[in-house]
Amino acid sequence: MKKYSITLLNALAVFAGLLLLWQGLDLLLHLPPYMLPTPLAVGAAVVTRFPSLVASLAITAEEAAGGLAASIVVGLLIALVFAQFRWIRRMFYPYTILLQTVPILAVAPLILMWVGPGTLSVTLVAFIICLAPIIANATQGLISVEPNLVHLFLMHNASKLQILTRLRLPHAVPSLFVGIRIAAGISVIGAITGELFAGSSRVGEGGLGYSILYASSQLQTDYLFALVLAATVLGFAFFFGVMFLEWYFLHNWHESARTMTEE
Amino acid sequence: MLTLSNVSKSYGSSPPVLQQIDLVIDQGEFVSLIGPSGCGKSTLLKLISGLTSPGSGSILVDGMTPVQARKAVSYIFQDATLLPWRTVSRNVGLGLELENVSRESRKQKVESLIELVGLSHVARAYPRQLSGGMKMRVSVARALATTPRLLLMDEPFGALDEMTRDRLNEELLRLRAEQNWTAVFVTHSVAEAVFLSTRIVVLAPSPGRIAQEITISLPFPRTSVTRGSSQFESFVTEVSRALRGVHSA
Repeated sequence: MKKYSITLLNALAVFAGLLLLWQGLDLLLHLPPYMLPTPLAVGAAVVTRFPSLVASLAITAEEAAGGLAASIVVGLLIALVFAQFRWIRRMFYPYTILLQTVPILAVAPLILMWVGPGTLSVTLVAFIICLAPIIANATQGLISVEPNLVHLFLMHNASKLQILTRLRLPHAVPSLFVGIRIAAGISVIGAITGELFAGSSRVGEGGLGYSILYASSQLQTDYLFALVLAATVLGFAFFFGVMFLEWYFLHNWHESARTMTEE
Repeated sequence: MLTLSNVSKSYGSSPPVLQQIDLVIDQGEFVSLIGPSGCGKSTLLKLISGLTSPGSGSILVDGMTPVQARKAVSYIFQDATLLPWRTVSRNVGLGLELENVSRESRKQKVESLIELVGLSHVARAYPRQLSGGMKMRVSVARALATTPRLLLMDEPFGALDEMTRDRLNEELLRLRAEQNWTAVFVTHSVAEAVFLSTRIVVLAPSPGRIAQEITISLPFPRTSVTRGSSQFESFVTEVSRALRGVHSA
């Protein structure tokens, strides 16, 4: 426990040092606030515009979480099909790699054109960007079961369904979580990217991506910084949320989740 | 109990792994298969279990095909093959669970077996908390939980240190005295084979075939004292000599 608090202290010290440097730089160079607002000004923006900041954060969080959840469900289903039928996997697996390499910035405008602006299409963008890592990792987990474990199940006359539910699925949970961890981080990026294109039904109100565009067009650089901060916080929250779930489900038996229990 | 007649097996176009194996094992025997690597001992076990099928010849277990007979057969693998997400008792109960045995009778059976292999104190632990020897005990308990009539073992104690291996060998014989199953046991260790078996089958490599069969007439019960006897020594010498003959050929 002590070791962790020292690490935390170090990280906080670095953060405070950076803030001081930033503030000092501003005082020294007399930059106009629309170029680089001081940390104090950003802090003030967070306080005064807290309600709208939280509203934007909530919209983006909902879209990212929705896309992530949908990608877990759909990705796992696809992975199940891939794991059960080798010929389907051979036919379609290359396309999941394609899905991973398609630049989301290029796809987002298309989706908005097809689905129309709004929360749904932003969620869809987040969903698409999350799908590939889920499929890849879940499939890997489902098919990488040790042959002797399958033999063991066969020796007990296990059905295909029993092998799936009692062997392949639990075995795939750790690598599924690897996929979810990756997806959680990029779901926020996906949602913000989507919002950059999606606009909003009401002027000045929307998710973080929309608000970032709006604030920059208004030269509200202090609020822009506050929004970037909020986006970072959101990414962190997602990441640690998944880490916690991973620990909760796996700490009894899997290596990957053991570190949090030791010491 | 087990009849192999004229069994051959080859993979693809490469030379046969096993050629014309004839072997009859009676109820209550403990037969060890021993031989240099590449002689097809593990393949033979896979054939008896029906996990692979022979190229030619026939295998009958209790008058049935290996796949039909699986209900009466348990397999113990080289590694413990435990499910890491299950506790010790849930691992031991796996076979019963897959065979849809009711929860109550499962619980009873599992408890008594865990006690039998001396793991009651870790019944609720997960495999990663156990030593290699304990894991193997769980594996043995799981195999015995379904009350098999035939037990197939593929070098189950090969990865353990010698002390642990000796102790587990003694325990295995104690369990056999209580439960009355027939065993086919693959091993690299001459001493282990002599200690456990009623008969040792020495296999020769390329192609895998039976070179010699040696009946081990050491009296039961066998204990750690048995290993010190001159009779034990002379059997070890005999089997070693047979193995050397196979190696140099």
